[in-house]
Amino acid sequence: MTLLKQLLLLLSLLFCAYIEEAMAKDSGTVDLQIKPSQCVSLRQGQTCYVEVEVVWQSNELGDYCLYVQSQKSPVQCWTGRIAGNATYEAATTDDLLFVLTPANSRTVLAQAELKAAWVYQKKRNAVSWRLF
Amino acid sequence: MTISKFVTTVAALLVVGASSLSPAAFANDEDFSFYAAVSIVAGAQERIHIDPDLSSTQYMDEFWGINLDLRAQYHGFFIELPGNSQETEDGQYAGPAIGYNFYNSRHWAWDVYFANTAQEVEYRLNGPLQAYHIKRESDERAGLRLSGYFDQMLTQLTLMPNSFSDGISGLEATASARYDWQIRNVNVYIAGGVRYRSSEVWTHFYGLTEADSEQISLVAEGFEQAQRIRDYFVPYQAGSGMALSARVGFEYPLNQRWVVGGFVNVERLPSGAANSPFRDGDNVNVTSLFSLTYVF
Repeated sequence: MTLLKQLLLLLSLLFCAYIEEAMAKDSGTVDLQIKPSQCVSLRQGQTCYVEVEVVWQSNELGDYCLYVQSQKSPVQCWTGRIAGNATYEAATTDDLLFVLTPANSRTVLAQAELKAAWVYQKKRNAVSWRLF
Repeated sequence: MTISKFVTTVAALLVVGASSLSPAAFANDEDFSFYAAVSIVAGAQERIHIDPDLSSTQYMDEFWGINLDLRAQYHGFFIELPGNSQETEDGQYAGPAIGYNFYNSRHWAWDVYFANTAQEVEYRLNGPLQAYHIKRESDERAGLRLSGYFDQMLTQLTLMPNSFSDGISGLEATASARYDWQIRNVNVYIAGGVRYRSSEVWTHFYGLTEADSEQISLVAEGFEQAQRIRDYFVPYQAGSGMALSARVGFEYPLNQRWVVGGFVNVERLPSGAANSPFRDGDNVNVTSLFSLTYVF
């Protein structure tokens, strides 16, 4: 292998490493956390109620909006912020996805899922209650 | 329990169950289902004590324990231990049961049903010179159960004409319903029911035989009011009648495995039972229970 080829290979490897690092940095710029991450109802199919605390942090000042996946309008938007928090009263029968986007688009910057869970299955033969 | 009677009835009911096998009998999505939970329970139950002067005292008896709540079903065959609803003899009682679910429709399930419908009862009479225990055997019965499943409501009807316990015959039939609603994640429910028992069944638990009456006469020996006691504990036969129950309860899931719950149950006995010498006219039983349950 000539010196030129070796140099080109080295440059290619360096370029790939740079791109990979840049992508990783980009995807890790926004962090979104919810608490709790699970909502438990007594029986499968029941509406589950929980107050969800949402906290997000970015490494860039910007305009952001928080959406719940199933809804068109945002839960809350922030202007010129690097971090934020919100409270959301969830009432759901299914898993619920929280999504942070730029204010001017629906590009997903970060997401977190509230899992719907239950104690008793809906199946008829799982019912064990008796008065007599 | 009369073994021959038991065998005959089981055979008869199995024939009924087997002859009813049809695609509908296997309408459940899965062949096997299993539910098990263990609860730590604590509560209080109203009890009655009759003093030697024949005055009765009602008091709340605290209790606690560990309950296993189990239901397993393979195809149509099932076994049930109702756990939290299991109480002592004076309260509403839901005992272990086995059965066969032979027909299902959209809302209703029909079962051939064998259940322990009443626990053993023991009355203890303490005299100055001797004591006497009266034991009444538990009641195991066979019959049919119809369960209705609706959005927020569960209903159950049972008809239990066959008893396998010695000395008990007669009929028992029940009808009950439970309605649930949610206050956020708390499930609140009200339930009510009636339990009809024929004279033979009430008499088994609340009646007094000639032999018992004679024994009590001996136990009364030494009491100042021995004659009054003898006059009070005369042979007694209870008539048929209905016990009424009402219950308010709640259940709240702490997480996917742990549930806290509780209820207050009021039962009103029919006059045939309430007028028994063992009850002294008291016809109301109150039971309250608090539970912490782990669901497997």
